Amino acid sequence: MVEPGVVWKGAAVPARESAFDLSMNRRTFLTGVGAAAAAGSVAAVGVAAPVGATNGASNFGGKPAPKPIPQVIDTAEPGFVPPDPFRFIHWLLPGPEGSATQILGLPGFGLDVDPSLITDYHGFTAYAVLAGSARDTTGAMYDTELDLRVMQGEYIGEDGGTHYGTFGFF
Amino acid sequence: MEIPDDSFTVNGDGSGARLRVNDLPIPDTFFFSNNVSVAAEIDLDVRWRATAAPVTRGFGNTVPPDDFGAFLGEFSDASARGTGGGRETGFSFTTGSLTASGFFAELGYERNGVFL
Repeated sequence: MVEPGVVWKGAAVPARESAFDLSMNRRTFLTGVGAAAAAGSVAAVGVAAPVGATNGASNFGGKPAPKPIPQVIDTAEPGFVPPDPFRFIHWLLPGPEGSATQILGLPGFGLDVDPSLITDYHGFTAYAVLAGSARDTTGAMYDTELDLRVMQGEYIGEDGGTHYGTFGFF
Repeated sequence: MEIPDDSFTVNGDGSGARLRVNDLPIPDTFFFSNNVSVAAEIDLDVRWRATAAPVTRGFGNTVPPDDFGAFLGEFSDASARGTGGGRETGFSFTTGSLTASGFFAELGYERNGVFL
């Protein structure tokens, strides 16, 4: 687990013990788990937006940004105080109830859960939580978990207009 | 984040899809919900394949807009597998085969928000 008070590139990582551990420093987690096991782990979770912000503001093709889903989860688990304004994030985890992701052990919220992270959206969505191994340039091996979603279709952007676009969550 | 439209292709009947991106610029936030990031690039080649017939998921506008089920879709459980990699200053990695067999994958058509 993450050591208390780890600071990496100026970003403090609060220490906590939680099965719903969304704030794990990627490389610290690699190192920490790697020291205790044959393989470390890399949690390649992506960009989740705080309430009121857009999921991933990057504009690859300059299209108007979509709006995040209104649903939020509260990351305030016992022992963890997420930095404001990131307590509530627009992110859900579809998956069978009672199941958990292979590496991080994040619990599935159920199957009637929207896999899209953008709202006012009508299109084709592909969602997967992928797991496997990865190797860095030093040859070190890691367990890898990646939340991957693609939303392609019509959406109403933050500008109020109707657009067509493709959006990814990595 | 927005990605090129042609990086994502869907079979005509919606039973399969493929994502291919190379050198896609992406902010690496280091850990979930961080507001500090550095520039990174990723490569991904992932294929989804339906493993079951589509079923209706979500509850549409019969539930409040902030309910987790406030959408309607025709989704198929799926297999998903692929490879990827990423790089940023001082760190890069390449994955072996990645698969969703340990948790869950799905694909399908859906609508939410004002399209309900």
